[in-house]
Amino acid sequence: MNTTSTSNEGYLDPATLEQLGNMHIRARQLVEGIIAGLHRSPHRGGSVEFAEYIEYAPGHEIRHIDWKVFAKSDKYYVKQYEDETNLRAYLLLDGSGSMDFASEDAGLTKLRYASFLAATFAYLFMRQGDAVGALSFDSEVRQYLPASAKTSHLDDLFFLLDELPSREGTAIESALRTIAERAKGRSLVMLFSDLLDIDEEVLNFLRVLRSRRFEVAVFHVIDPAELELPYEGLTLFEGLEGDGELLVDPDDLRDRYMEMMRTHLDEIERQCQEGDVEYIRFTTAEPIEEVALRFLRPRF
Amino acid sequence: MSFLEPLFLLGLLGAALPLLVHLINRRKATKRSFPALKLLLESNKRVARSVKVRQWFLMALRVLAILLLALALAKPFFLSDAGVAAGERLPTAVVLVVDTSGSMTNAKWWDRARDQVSDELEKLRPWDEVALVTTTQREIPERLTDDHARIKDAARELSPEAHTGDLRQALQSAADVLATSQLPSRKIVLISDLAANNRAGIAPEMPYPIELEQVRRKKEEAPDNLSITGVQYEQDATEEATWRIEARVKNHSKEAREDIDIQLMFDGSPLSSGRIDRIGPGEEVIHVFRHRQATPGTFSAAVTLDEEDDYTLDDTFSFVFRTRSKIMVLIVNGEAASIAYDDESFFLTRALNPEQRSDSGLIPTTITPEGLANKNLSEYDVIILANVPRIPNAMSAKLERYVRDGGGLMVTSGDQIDIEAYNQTLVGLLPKPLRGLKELAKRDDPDAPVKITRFGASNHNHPIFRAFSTMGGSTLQSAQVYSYMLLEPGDPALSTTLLSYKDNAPALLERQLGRGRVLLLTTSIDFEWSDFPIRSAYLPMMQRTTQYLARRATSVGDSRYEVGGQVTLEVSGIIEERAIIKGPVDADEPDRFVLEPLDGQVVFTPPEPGVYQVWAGEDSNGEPPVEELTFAVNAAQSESDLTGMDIEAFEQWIAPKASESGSSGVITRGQTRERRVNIWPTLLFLVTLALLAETILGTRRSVLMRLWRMITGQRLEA
Repeated sequence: MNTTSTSNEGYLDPATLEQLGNMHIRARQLVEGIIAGLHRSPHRGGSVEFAEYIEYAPGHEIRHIDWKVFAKSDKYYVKQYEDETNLRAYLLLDGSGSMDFASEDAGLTKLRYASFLAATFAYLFMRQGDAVGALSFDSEVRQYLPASAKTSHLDDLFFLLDELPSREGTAIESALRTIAERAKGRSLVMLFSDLLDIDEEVLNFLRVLRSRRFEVAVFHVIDPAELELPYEGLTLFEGLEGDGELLVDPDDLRDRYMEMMRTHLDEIERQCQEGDVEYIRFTTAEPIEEVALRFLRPRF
Repeated sequence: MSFLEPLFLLGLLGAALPLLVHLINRRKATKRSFPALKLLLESNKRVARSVKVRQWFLMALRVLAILLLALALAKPFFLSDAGVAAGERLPTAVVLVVDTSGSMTNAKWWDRARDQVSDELEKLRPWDEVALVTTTQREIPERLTDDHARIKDAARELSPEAHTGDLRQALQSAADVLATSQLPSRKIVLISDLAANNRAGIAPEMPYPIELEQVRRKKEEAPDNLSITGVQYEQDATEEATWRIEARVKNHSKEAREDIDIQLMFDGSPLSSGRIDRIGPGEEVIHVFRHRQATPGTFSAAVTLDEEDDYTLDDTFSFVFRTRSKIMVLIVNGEAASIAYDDESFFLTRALNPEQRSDSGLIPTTITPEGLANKNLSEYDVIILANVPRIPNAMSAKLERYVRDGGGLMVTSGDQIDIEAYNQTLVGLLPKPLRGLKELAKRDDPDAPVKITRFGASNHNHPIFRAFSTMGGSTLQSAQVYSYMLLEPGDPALSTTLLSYKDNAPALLERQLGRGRVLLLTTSIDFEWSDFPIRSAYLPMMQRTTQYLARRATSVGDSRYEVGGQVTLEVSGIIEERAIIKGPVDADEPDRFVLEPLDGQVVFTPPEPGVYQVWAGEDSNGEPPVEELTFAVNAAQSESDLTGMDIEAFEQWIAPKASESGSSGVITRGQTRERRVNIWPTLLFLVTLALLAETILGTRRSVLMRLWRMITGQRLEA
């Protein structure tokens, strides 16, 4: 166990991640937690994917015997691996103004949370030898890093993630279009956004990507305050993307707001499911490892 | 609506506070960045209307709460006769005290009283107990009963009586009746005009609340009433068969009355009528009838007012009119002698009652001066001091009272008189002081015819001498006077000379004293100083003088009876076994009462006004009534004043004792029955409601939701 403060289940508290030196350390810490969560050796490596355990039989390579399983079960099991699939992962990060928000309960802005999560995935994929690319956008596409599996590429990725913009406007469709144009072969497109400005066209485009054999995962980051509107007293709400202000007692419209928010989330989730787009929704109060595991578990 | 603490109404200005707080809070809004503003704006669009309505409602509630609180602190109230107190819902013992006194005969008032009695009885619940007491009731009231139908029947039979009620006694009786009840709530309902005459004496012990039901519409209502407060009659001093009948009429109204017709009735028939021009408010005037009654006797008489007013019982005043049938004369003989001619009163007694008959109009009784002290002077109409030597001081005072009360006194001269003593003791009675004897001649003096004098000029208009002014009247002057009493000049204003001697010396002088008269004859009434007793003028002059002096027939001193009061008749020697009283004689069917005398007295309580006659033993077969026992009864005079009693005074009368128990007091309703209804408890309740509603509406929905979940046991969301 590391020396940093942890959340309940041994995960790192998102609020304390900011204090953990640079992105590299954070990513490594997170990945260790994730691997521990997966109960799997982080050093197995190789450009192959684990497939299944089979009982040892003469003819199998001794080095493939899983000694930990032997220790637990007193039987010899041999790991079977699939060949490398040349995975290319593209991290699409929403740097719009609305992402630069953290409520009292969250500790991290949605933007930082998303960047940490993305960094975690980048680190993990790179360690597996997969190529990882990244794209940041706000009202337009800002930065693009092509996918690469080089170790030095990780630094570039982390730099991009550290320097994410937080400006007005959200151009998800442009970002997706750019990826669609530039990504090659079978790729994993991971979109990190609060999806506040998502519209029918974006969802359509996600489906289009899916139809073009892109594996698409949408990471919907939400601040807990956005779900519950926990404020009290007369409040002047100001939009983060120049969308005006509203003087209101939150109590008066909390129910209505929460209902609309639920409809909004349900609609996105439904559209994603219909488009065979993987949809992961989480709040910035949740441990990053847990969110990552929700994505990773079905894959390992 | 009125306020006990109107200063607190300034608190109404506090209604502006919620508005100010709202404006200040608006400025103190927290600024907050929020990413999902679009959703917020969208939500706000949908709820804005209801939120605005809620906010306005909240504001209105707060303003209302402050307004109501300020009003409540000012303690508003209104007067009302409606509503039911908590205590009135309990099983209640009710005693209805109904004023049945004379003043309630006013038709409007009695109708209202009946309605109020009926209303009160209708209000009773089956478990309530009730009793009925009237202010004119003499017998002990019945116990409380839950047989309401019986009380209703009894109430229907009620009617006002012509006499004064005893409110104090009625309330005391009601309290006594209530004291026997075990019910948790007990009260007295007083239905009365509450006339001013009701409150008298010490207030009754009153540990129960009194609900006052006034029959007057307004407290200041001033009834219109004229009353005959009394009638007096007196025989005219100058006209023999003429009577002066005085009726006193009082105006109890607050406005003057004019042209009031007044009538004198004899035996039920109008005899004389008159008109009173004007009576000012509160004034009393005397109207005089002059009545000539030739035939003596006892008559049922009345004076009536032909005026419509609010109280009719006092518009008629009944009285018994009696003429005088006999004149009782007491002769004090100053020189009694066994020889008839020498006796001082010999000629006089024969002159007054020549045949010495008992049914004569003049009944002389002769006594000695010593016997005078033992006589009851009031039994005599005339007293003649005939040559009485002297009168003791005590007797002279008695005589003076006697004369002032209407008696007649005649002092005749003679040689027995102690002039000095007379001038000392009878100075208040004699027309002029005596000086001394003037002897003109001795009876046996041969020159007597020259020396003597005779009666001279007389006042022909005087009742005594009116008869002597006719034919044959000169016989008076034929009498020879040998001696007479000289008089001091005295005060000419005190005396009138009715008859003089030829030498101008006064022979007969008169002095008015109170209601009586004193005559002084300066010569003797026997044969000693003159030969007048043997003259033909002697008898008529003595009789006329006695009649003139006699106490005039008058109603003064007659007992005055009122309905409801007791009439005590002295029947000793007249009625032995039973007295039959019938009356009122003018009624179509007079009531008949049979009473037994006790210790020589008959005590009777007349139920109605009018004249009552009394028979001894038997009233059938044309037996005449005992005339001297005939009496008249009139409505209670105190009832004539219909002025309402001040409610506060009544409360003060009752309240000091009523308040001792804490739960008692006078509750007035209607015009004067209103009771104070406090509004502030209701207002405070409304304030509480407004604050509660404000609290619920003003509490954050989140808190309410949490509370609701706690109450319903639902799991709290994280």
